[in-house]
Amino acid sequence: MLQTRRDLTQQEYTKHIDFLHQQLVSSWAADQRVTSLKIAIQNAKTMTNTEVLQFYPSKFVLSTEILDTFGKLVYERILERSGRPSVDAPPSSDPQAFERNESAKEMCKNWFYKIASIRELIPRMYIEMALLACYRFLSLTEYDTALERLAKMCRGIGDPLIAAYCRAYICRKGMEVSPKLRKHLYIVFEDFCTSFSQLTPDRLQHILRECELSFSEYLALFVPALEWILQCLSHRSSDDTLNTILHWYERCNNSLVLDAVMTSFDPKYVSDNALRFADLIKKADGLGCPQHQLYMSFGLSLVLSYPDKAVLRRILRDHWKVIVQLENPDDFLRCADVYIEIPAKHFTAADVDHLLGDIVRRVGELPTSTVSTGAGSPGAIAAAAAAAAPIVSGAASPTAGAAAPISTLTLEQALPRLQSILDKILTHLRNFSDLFEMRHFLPMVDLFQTDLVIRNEVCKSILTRFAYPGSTSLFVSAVDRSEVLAEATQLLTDLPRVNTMMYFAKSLHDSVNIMTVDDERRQITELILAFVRRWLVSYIANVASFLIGLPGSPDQGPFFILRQFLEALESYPWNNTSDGKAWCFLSIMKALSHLRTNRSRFNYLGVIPNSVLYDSDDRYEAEVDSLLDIIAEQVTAHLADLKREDSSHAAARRATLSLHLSHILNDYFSCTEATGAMALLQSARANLRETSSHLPTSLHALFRSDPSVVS
Amino acid sequence: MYVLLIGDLHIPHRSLDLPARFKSLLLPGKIDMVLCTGNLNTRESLEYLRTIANDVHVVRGDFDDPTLSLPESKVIRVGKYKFGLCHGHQVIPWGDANALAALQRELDVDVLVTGHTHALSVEKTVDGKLLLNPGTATGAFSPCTLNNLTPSFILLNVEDESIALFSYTLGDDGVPVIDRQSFP
Amino acid sequence: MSGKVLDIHLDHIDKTFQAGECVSGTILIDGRKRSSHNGITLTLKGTVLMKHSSRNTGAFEAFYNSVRPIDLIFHTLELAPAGKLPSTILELPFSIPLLPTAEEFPLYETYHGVFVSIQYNIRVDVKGRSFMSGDLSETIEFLLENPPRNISFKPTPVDILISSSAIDSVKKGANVIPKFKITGKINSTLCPITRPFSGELVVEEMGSKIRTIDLQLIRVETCGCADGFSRDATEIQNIQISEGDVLRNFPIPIYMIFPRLFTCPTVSSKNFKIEFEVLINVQLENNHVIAERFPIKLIRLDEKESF
Repeated sequence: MLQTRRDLTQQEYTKHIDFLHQQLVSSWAADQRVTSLKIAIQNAKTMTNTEVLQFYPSKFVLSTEILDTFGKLVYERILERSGRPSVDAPPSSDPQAFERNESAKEMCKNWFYKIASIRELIPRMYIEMALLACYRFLSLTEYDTALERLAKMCRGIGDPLIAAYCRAYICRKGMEVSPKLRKHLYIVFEDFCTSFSQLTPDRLQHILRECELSFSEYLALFVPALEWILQCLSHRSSDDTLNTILHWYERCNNSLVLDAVMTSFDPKYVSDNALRFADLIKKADGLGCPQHQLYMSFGLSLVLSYPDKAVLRRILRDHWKVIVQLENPDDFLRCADVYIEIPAKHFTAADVDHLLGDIVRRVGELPTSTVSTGAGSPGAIAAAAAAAAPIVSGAASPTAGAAAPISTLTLEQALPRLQSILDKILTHLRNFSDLFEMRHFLPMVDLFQTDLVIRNEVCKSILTRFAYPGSTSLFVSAVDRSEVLAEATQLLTDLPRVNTMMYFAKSLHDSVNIMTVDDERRQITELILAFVRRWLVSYIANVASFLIGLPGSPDQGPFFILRQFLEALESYPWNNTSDGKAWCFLSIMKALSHLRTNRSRFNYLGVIPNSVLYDSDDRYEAEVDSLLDIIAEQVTAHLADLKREDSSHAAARRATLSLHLSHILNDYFSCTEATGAMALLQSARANLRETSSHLPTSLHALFRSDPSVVS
Repeated sequence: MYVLLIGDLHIPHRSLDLPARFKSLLLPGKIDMVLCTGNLNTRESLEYLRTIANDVHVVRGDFDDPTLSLPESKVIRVGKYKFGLCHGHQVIPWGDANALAALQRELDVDVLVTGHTHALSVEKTVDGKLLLNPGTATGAFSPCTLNNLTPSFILLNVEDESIALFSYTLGDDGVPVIDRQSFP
Repeated sequence: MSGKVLDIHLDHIDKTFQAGECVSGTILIDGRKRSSHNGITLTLKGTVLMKHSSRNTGAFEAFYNSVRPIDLIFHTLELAPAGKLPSTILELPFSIPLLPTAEEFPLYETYHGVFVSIQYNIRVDVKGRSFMSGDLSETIEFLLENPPRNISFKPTPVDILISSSAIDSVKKGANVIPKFKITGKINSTLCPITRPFSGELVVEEMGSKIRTIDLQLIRVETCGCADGFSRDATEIQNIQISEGDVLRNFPIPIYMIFPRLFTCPTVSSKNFKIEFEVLINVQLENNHVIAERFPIKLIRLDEKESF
């Protein structure tokens, strides 16, 4: 009646199973227990059928769902009969309760006697597993014996795939009823390894032919079951567990099993036994799971939980040697994407660079996917073109042209992977200047040339990392800030490096075109600006704002601190190509302007600010004015410099600076009735016009106070 | 569309956690978007916000973990409206309406959301644009406000033609007080 | 009362009573449906029923197909003289000691077989007074077990060795039956009835693919008298212990629960015998069957059940 036939599509089959499920529930509700049991057995029988092998893992899921329902119905029925709220509640001592309890026991025994007589092994086991929880009504210790027995009974299943899933169900049920019990898990895994060791393409020849599966595809069908088993085993496992598991694993030395072991167990276990695993990877048979997958899984564990540094270094060295030799460039890049994190996290820039060199070389060897516009087979032409002129960047490639590429991976296809590698390097970068210590960093960035979108992403990542320097601590203390500042100072005085960063910024800037969406445009603008002003500017703006609420020194005058601050800014080695200094001055001007207009609203708790201390003091106001004068002069000088630069980029920078300056002046003069700002206002307006201002509303607001200015 | 404005959590450096009464309000699946003015401090807080809504935008405050790589400011479209988001420590003076209006114009947005002052405020510019500050959601200490540090946040219901604003502040008795305003 | 006018409830939920103790319960009569009666009697009866198989009829033409049953226990109790019934449910408790009637036959345990059956029934008759209220009758079977023997149980293990070299006698088939060797162990051929039959089986060598390995539980029933007897082996149940071509040298558990009713402790009396065997049955893909028979002896031991 129930057959997974080839002519049944997966949907039809799923529908059919759903129908069975409903039937089971409805016949149970109608008190037709025998019918329900028959449906459950019928359903369990489908687990014997491997006609459409590819479908077996999903069939397992569907069928066990019905079995779980059946188990639940029986369990609840017995519980109801026992009259207890839960099976663990002690039966009360009154005779009626005792009788009900005995009656529940009898009912339970009857179920088990009934299923013990099911002829076929697999349905009998599945039904018993579905009812496993009911053993609790009979005795406290029944689970252990039943689970162990069921685990051993799996050995009677000749088909290794059916046996594997049956074992997975045992583990699952065992977890449900008593997660502490482990003996059956060991039996299950040991047997799994034993039976797995006997799987050979020879032995499976006719199955594989019949199902049109490759040996690897066939082995992959085991993965869900294997993962279930290992997950149960790794649950609250100890070192001993892992030892035992590895001991049995060595019976089959199968790559697929090893990979599942590495991904199921806590990375800490893997890294604690790193050398052993490294050895096992070497010995693995490569069946069902390619070698590079093992390296990846292992690498991931090491990234998540690293062993002793000396061990780590040794493993990195040994494994990288193998990884570099991987023939398929995609496999190589996937591994590299994992392994790059090890030196990036734990070792020096030079170590990262070593890996980077190999990566750049391998990617550089890849053909581009430039499709010929001419007639004929484009693939062949592209391949030929690539072979003739591979894009080689950085180190000369020793193998270029020696052999045809193994895979059809093109340079363009490799770029996302390469981008991920770069991101990992940037994430773990301790010192931005380390990037420039890496000989292969720039050649790597060069590789992104062919893809505009990814290139922009890459530039953004680098600039972001540059604009918001990282610190490994979660909270940047004042000391850290000063260190970062020191680094920034050092970096900004290094002209070639600044030039490089300028190149990224420019590249990003040039990428903006009419198609660029607004926020993207804004983000890019911000990043470029951020590069130009670094976060120092935002930091200084914060300090300037902070100064507004501070009182002056009784001995040294109201602006003692501010003057000191200005001096510090003056002595800072500003880069001429950046607007940083101008932005900092603008910030201080804003603060001063507010002090002068005395509109400042805030003060610190219990601190009397200058604005109160020196309210309407002429000398105080004169000092503000003179300070403002000096600073404004500096800013306008910078604006003049920018004007001479004569590029659209400089014009944009000038416009933004002018606008801010105008804001301040407008603010200032609206209170002080001075008129000297008119010229500046006019020039700002002209600047904004020139650059086809993106902020007409600002202009409007700015000149609102004097409508005559707006022509 | 419900948009949560929240910020200046300063967890764990100045405050241990959000008030329980707030946490029980901020349940997953109720809010469509979170705009955070920054100063979360740690990645954990950011992850927490991501549990409230899928769409979370955060800008960098002066005490945020730099490795979070948060932007200085952000423009987000919410229905017909453009929202600007910035922490506000860069604004001189902090929380000043004129300075904020300048930033609003610079970002060219209809609603500017900033924080840093730890004081909830709802203001309008002369152009009728909104300047919102959800205050501090944890009531964390700040040197720059004289107000009592009351935990607060803002919830917006952004519709086609109007924005309804609900400001939540924690009363002395620990019960949230809700104030409703409507724009335009 | 399940809507019946007359019903019998036994005090033991599993309907099982031990020989030497009392079978007890309550008779329920619904007085709302029946107002009077002409006497209520209870009959307790335990019998061994036997019949010859039709297979053997040829050899036993002279005999009747069925052999005279043996009464093991017989009691009649007059529960109430003729009278009226109360208009509620009348409850009549009863308790009868389970002691053998005939000296030569002890109370054998309940057993449902094909040619031999041992059954214990309680029957209640309510005599009607008139044509309109006819006689009522209800019968219930209860299960009898002998008190467990309180002896120290010593398993009697048996090694399994089934190999092609051992069946030299079927030389003709040597070409079709491949070389094979199956080993293993039966944990005990002396089997406490409440414990599973267990052991393990190892296919060490098998030149052909295996389709299935089954465990057959077989009853061997003998009935007869001085004039002759019949002996029949029939299958009680068939349990698959291995499906498909199992791995070689991988011990497969042998595990089987003895079903209730259909098994009982092995009986060997002068009139009949109930014996059991287990058959290990290996079916090959080419339809060949390799089988080996293991007689077992079932006993009742004092211990908890296998579940």
